[in-house]
Amino acid sequence: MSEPSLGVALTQTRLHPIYLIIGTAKTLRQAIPFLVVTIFGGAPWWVSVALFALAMVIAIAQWLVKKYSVVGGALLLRSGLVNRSVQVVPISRITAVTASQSLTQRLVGVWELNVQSPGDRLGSAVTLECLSGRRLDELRAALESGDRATLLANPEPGPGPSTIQRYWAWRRTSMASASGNNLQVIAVLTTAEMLIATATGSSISLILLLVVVVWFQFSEYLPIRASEFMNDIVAPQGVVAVLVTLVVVAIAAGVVVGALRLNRFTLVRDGDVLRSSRGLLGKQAATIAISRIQAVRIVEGFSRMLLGYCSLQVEVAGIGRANVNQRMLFPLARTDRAESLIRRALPELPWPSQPLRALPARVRRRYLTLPLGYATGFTVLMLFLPGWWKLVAAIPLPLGYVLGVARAREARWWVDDQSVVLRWRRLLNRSTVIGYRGGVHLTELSSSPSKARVGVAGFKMRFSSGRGAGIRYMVDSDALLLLRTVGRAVV
Amino acid sequence: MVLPWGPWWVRWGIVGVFVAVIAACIILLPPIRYRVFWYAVSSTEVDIQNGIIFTKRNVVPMRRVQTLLTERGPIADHYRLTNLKIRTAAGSVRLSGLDRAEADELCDRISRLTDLADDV
Repeated sequence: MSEPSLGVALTQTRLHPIYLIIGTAKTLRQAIPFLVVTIFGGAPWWVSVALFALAMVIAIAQWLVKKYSVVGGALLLRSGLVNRSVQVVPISRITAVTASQSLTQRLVGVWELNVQSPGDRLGSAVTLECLSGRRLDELRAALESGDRATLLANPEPGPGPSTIQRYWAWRRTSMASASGNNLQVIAVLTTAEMLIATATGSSISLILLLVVVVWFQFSEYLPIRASEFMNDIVAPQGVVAVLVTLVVVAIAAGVVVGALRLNRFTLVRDGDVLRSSRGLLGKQAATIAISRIQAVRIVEGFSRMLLGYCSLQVEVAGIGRANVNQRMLFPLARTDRAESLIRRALPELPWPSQPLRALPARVRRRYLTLPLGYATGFTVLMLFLPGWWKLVAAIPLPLGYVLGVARAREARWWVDDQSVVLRWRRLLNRSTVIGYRGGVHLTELSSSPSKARVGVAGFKMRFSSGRGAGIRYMVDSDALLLLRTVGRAVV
Repeated sequence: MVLPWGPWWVRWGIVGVFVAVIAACIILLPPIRYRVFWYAVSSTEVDIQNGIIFTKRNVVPMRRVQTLLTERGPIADHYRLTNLKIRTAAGSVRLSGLDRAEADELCDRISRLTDLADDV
């Protein structure tokens, strides 16, 4: 069915033909279990060829049916071979636009575009995998004209260019020329900070787990040189030498991954949007409308806290739990300088006018209940361990006590006319959320007979990103105050 | 055979206790749940409390309501009951077992009170 001509800013357009290769690779990735069975199961060669041909046919068919257009102030994406679907994103609802280039995309000169909108917490509302520069420019013109049409229909005056216009200006502007275009560079991640971010992140431990599993379970599939090095030089030195080598490999791989992901992370304030760019071989650029930011989250991981660092994230509708990279404001900052960085990036964000409120002693005691309960359970289980291993049972209770005391001492809150702030520790991480009081979407007060008896309650608030913040135990009247004030329209 | 070990009266005793607990839950829990559940609708918010031992009280600002969803299965339909789900961009809260007319009236009222300004 053809589109009506009225309000058509961009007719139905297919992705760049390079999608055929990327689509084939994607289909083959999904068919890996079948390929493993056919290749290692001794099936004739033509079966594998047929599977490859089938993947290619699927990619061609997907490319033929996948078309995007801009009609009536909305971005439309038609896709699906068997189940046809049409995704419609009103341009006025777009909260963030992210463009990225993997190494292969960079080599062939195409971009991947992710369009975010509220209610798409698990991913992007629309993803266009392969767009050439020319098609991007066409899409830009179409979205801008669609945005203007929306503005005409809804004549609420907005400050400066739209998110879309800002985003496209960003794509056309290199960081080198940023300072000459009235852009304020907030922060740039140095190489040393990138290394610290990598070393204190989770990637190295995950890679270590992977290399340990690979070495002890699948060592026969390793390259011959690596296998010879490990078997002839390292293994004779003992298990400790093997583990140290694997740790070194994991650290090296983690640093490479960190460099690929975070290299030259740059945060720029441009009028009413924040823009970030990063990446070594692949490039990623993100644009977030300031008006869509509901809160900033300061996350202090255990190792980063010891070194005095933290990471900064934003709560934005449509950018949810699924992707840490999308909600990242800045990956690593000195904790004592985090406030000044946030103030420079988001001067609009209301900060508490007074120091955060701590919890009274009678509430703090409640924080010991849960960790000590779990610790007792672990202690009982560990008493069944054989021989000297029973001594491990002495660890959980002191650990639980320390955790309970730390959680009680670090829990803080504040609310005033403009802002709401919650700070809490879960296990190793400490988080602080500073948000607009009226930006919260859902609030919850939790209680139980034992809590009510001692005048204690829990409080949680949720943002439109789907993420939340909460304090498990606080004075019930304070929790009720938060329930009564947070999320209400600020007069 | 219900359990592979123990004398018959232990095996059937365990089954009996299990069935009795389930029956007690089916018979006793709904009236208790009905007594502790309440909701209130003002021009600015929907306030909902539920839970028997662990109580939860949710407040949904009216201007944050995105969609309202009513649903009823065949049994609920027979008894003229409806579940109402109030959705926001941050999640949803549920009002279960409302009278159908009450749910319809509530739906109308909330949709009238909801400010549809786009400030997500």
